[in-house]
Amino acid sequence: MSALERRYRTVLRLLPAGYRARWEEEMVAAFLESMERDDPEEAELLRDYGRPSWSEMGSVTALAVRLRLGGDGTPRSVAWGAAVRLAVLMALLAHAATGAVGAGIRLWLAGVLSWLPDPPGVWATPTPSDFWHVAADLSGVVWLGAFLAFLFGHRSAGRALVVLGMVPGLASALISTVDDAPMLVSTWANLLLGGALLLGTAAFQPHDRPARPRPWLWALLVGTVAMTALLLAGSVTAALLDWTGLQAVLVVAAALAYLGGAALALVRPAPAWSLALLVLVAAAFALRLVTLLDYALLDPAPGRATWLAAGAAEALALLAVGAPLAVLAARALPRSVPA
Amino acid sequence: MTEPAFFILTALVSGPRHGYGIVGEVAELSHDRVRLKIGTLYGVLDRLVGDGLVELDREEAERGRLRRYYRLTGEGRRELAAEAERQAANARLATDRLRAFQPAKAETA
Repeated sequence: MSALERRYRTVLRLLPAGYRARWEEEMVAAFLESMERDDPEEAELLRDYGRPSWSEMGSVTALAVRLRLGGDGTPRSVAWGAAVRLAVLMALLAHAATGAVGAGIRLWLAGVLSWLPDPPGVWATPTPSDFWHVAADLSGVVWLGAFLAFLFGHRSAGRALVVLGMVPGLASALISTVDDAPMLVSTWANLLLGGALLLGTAAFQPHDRPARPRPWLWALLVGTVAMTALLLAGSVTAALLDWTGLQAVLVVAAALAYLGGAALALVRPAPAWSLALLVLVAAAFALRLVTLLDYALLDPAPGRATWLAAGAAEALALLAVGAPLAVLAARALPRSVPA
Repeated sequence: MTEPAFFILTALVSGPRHGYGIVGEVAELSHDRVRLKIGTLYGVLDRLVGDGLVELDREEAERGRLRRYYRLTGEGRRELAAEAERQAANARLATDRLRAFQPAKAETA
């Protein structure tokens, strides 16, 4: 076996075992054929030192994610696929509500929504009004588009909008590396989670039955109203919650509602919901930990101890709801069948 | 139907082909616009076989390596014809609209 073949087979290990049993030999043969060259010296060099291109590895990774999230039809992957779809929809819902509220407030402050009463005086502090800041504030509505696109089965449009929604975060991360601004771990962690969200959208596949839109649209309405109320009560929340904290609180609230409902036998725990909430708890927990690093490392501001304490409490709350969710999910998840 | 699936089915119309043969035929058919990655090809092929649009034709050993040839099924041929008709109808729609609204644009310009 040439070094090239060995490397390609290593990449193929990303694929589920059952799928590999059917297709691995053929894939290897086709790949090696694609790497054949007329010049014997070049062919030899490729066999010894060549490796699959990034795009080739990307295609295998995308296939592996799709298969493991329901695409290969095994009960376990179907359960994971349903859970990741729910988790992605819930994450997009949160982004959509905050994006819509953020853009609305920006327009309100700019005086565009003249039928509304004037904004409170404390908000009148000048916000940067250059093109990029305004664009970044308004770009939140892109998430609303992404949420609706996945809800109504427009997968490609949804993915494009998720990528677009990540642009402001990516831009500010890149700018912070060029500027002398202190580098924030949370900026990169948020980007990483955005990437995971994008990868998670692979769970939306052509043959899936789409979600029923009506409950999700109600959730969007309730979420937007609640977010607006939270912002208008800003002085209370700002003292206790940063953006990551707000996400943590939302996730804990959703998990508590679900676990409470299950405990009181109001809802029957569904494997997809247990897993989906567990995924969100894990993401919120990871984000909370790395953002606490920012507070611990960078900011010697007077309120630091309070922020750290609040963050630690949120992390603990996430762990507390994560444990029963993990038990429920593990119980409900179909056993993997050895291929 | 996704674009790779459309091209893979089209590549099999003229006769059975093996994996890398399909890659080459699709590149030629699309004037190099669609260059299938191996991961993409076998992801789509797995689905097409599962849906009964494509089936195994024969196996051959070529320089010690397995080559499986695939052919279009009757169902696959019908599905491709329907998709081609749908795309052609969409294209006609756009062309007709473009033609209909061109003079109006010329007048206002």
